[in-house]
Amino acid sequence: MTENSNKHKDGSDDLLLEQFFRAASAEQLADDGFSRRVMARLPERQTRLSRIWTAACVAAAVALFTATGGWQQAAEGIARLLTTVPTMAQLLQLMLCGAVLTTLAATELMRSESTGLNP
Amino acid sequence: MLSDIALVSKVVLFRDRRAFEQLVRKYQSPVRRFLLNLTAGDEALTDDLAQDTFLKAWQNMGQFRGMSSLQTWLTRIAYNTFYDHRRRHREEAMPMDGSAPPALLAMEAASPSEATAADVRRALALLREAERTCITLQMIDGEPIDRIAEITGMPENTVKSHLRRGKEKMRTFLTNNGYD
Repeated sequence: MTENSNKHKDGSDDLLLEQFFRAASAEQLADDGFSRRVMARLPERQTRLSRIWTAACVAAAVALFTATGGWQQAAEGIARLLTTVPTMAQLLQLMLCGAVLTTLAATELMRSESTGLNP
Repeated sequence: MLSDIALVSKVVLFRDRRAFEQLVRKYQSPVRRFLLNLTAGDEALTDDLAQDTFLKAWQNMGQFRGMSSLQTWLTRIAYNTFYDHRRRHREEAMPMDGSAPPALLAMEAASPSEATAADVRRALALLREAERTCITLQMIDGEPIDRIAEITGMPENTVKSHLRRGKEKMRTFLTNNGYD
């Protein structure tokens, strides 16, 4: 009889514990910017590597350009361009190139903004 | 909505941040709730530890084998992160074994559910850390004993002992505080 009443008491105690913890188990914590803070702390290893790679390529290109007399040729080309009057067809070609480059730059900017990966 | 395995694959293969962000949003609540209970209601510490947990998950996602659920895997990382923190700051002697920490006593509940959650954390603060971990995992997160052993690295019999002692203390606490 005593054993039975103890079992009954244990059972009701377990029920009491379950009821007590039920509210805690249903608790959903609001994000409140937590995910954003985690994403902001993720290492940017790939971005850093790509920046180093880009800087190295630019430095190599400038060195090669200088070594092969590129600056002098560029100056001569600009001087020739200034002394000749461009035709309408050449102007249209230039405008077309500018429009294409602007579109490409705008597209890339919008893509990086939407992914949130803009460094 | 992609499955966890599909999202994990995208993270492992392509280091896809958007896939990882979806996982963070999905699991931030259970991970933070688990840590909030382990720290007995210290919200600032919980936030730091939860962030560290997800950073470790990002770095080691390739080690997730899918043998258990992603939530179990994250909970194990959270548990290890909490214990690493405790080992590093042992000398600061957080008053967590047997007495409620200041953060809990200062907590003011804004709603009945928050009041209940505060009571639960006050009760959990009375337990030893191992008891608190086992009770939290079983009574709040609903994990079976074998999963608790997997998360904590304790033998199943040890888990059972901690659960038995923890429940006895909880019963005493509830009875003394008019919950019967």
